[in-house]
Amino acid sequence: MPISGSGKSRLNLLLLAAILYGIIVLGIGSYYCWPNIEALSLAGEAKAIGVFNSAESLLKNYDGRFFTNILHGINPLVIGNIYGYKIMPFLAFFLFTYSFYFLIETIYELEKNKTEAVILAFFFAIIHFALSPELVNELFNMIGSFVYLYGFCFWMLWVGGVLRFSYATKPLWKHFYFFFICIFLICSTGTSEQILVLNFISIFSFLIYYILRSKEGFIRFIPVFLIGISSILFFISCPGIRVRINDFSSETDYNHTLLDSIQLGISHYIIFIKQLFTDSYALFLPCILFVSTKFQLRSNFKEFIQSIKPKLLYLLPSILIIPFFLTLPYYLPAGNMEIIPYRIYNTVISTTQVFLLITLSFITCFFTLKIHYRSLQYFLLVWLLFSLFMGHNNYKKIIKEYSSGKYDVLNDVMLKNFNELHKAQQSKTHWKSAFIEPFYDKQLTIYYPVILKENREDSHWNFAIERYFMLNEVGLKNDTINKKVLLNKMLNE
Amino acid sequence: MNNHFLHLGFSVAIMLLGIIFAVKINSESLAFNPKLNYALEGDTNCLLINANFIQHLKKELQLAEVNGTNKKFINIFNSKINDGYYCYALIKDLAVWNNISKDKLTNTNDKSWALSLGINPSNEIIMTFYFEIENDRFLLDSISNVNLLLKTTSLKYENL
Repeated sequence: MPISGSGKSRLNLLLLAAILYGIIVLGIGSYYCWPNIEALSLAGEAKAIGVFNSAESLLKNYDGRFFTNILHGINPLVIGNIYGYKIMPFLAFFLFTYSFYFLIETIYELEKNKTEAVILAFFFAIIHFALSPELVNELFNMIGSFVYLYGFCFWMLWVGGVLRFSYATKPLWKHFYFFFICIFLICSTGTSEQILVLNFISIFSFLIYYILRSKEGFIRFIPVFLIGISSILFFISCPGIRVRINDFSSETDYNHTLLDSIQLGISHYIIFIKQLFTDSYALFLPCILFVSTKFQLRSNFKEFIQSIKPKLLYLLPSILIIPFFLTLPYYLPAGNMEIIPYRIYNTVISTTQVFLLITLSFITCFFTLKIHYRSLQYFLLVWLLFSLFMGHNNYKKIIKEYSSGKYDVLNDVMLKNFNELHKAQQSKTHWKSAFIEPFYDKQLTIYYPVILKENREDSHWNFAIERYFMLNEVGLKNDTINKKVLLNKMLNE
Repeated sequence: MNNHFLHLGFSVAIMLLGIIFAVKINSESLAFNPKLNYALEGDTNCLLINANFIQHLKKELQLAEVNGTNKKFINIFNSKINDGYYCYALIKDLAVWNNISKDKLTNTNDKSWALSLGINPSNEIIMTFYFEIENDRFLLDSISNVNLLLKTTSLKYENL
């Protein structure tokens, strides 16, 4: 039995309560989050030599993430706005929500109730960030979010764009969607190695689909395919990626074979999937079920589902193996490691969440399952709200860290240090120096520490702060080595 | 069909741009010592070091190693740490402390400032430098003196 108007508004009110809870908690996190030294280092470089020069040199020396490297040069830190950094988690949150909405609007019939669809997209995002395996690198550490979140958002946008492009009839819309796809396909490939793999699989899947089903679609898709392939080739041809692989390999045990790496990847993946489905009172699956029961697929998707052979449909769940492939660019060069690198699973959870949603919708549509919507949706929503408010998830962690006073400590240290650095910057002395307190060194849900060591050990971090604030010297208060004394001593010798 | 050719043309243009840029960054990257280049973390535009300089520096370092002067420095140098930064920051610091004016630094004909820092500008090994002071950038050329750089960098590490 479908849900009546008043029933729908009650459901929406409950969803809004969950969204509000999530936004408030993330708001607290954003208010207290601060840039770490790595973020200052990358922004400082763009500030010193320009956005494209810094991106180019990172491509030569550090990695192949061409769009991430551009983003390092376009953010509030580059214009010296430390407080503007606190807006970045919200920007990332809204980008994820909008991209998801864009994708589901392409696949499902949402015209009848757009408000409900928007609410649901927000709810989906709230659940996603509740379960994110390393939230700090997906939302609060800006440079981490460029790699582990933005790439997937751009993927949702270009994939949605391809579907819209194939159904567009007006020439103007065709052109619009073509350029839209090009922009986001290039941007997403340039964010990380993981999205590169996802894009590779996606463009070849589209190609095979069009070859098998539509000659016209195939011809239309060729330019997109060429752009996808060239952006992937550009990424892997960058000298920086070789430096990165060498860097990884130098830390690897030489007795470790590729097969060992894959085995390790599989064992970590199994642990992660187990955690994903059980964490926070099994919050993950009800969310997917809830969203998949809310919307009907568009007629062209229904026709496609009905037209395929039943045997082929059994292969659909196998697309859930794809998220595993996204971990391989990390495991293959890195080899053995004891601790699960949770940050790379941020992309894995996003992919699993979206793929599972689409798979469930397709299966439901194929078997024309008659689900008793009202009771099922109320049951799922109660489960979801209980898990969200009571379960051990990222929101709970933020609340716990906030109430234990950790955020105040972080805030105090950072405020004191940044004030000291600004004061030194504005001083009229010939030699501008600042000696600050050690940066906060513990990982929090909202802060990823990069530590400034005593006596300029790992001195590139000292240089990074010096360059960002245009100071002659930045050290720690406890340092026994002073740049000026050292060099004067050398000059007198 | 016209639309299709327009899109195809656009994608071919993007491909060509990608190829040109990939060739450019790969050829430029090969011109540098990769370890030093990596260490600079993007300052390749600020510091161009003649390959001979690197060879010479390495030789000097090996001598230092034989003499047991500074093992730590050798290790750090060989493991990608920021020598480039050291050279760069060293000259920068020396100039600021010695009140060398911007005009003097930018005048490539006047090398007296280098002498005042104890750097021999006529050395056969040449470094070309972009120099930053207070967010302005200046080109310095013909700064050399391996021994001085070696001595200072070693000294820094010895004191660590």
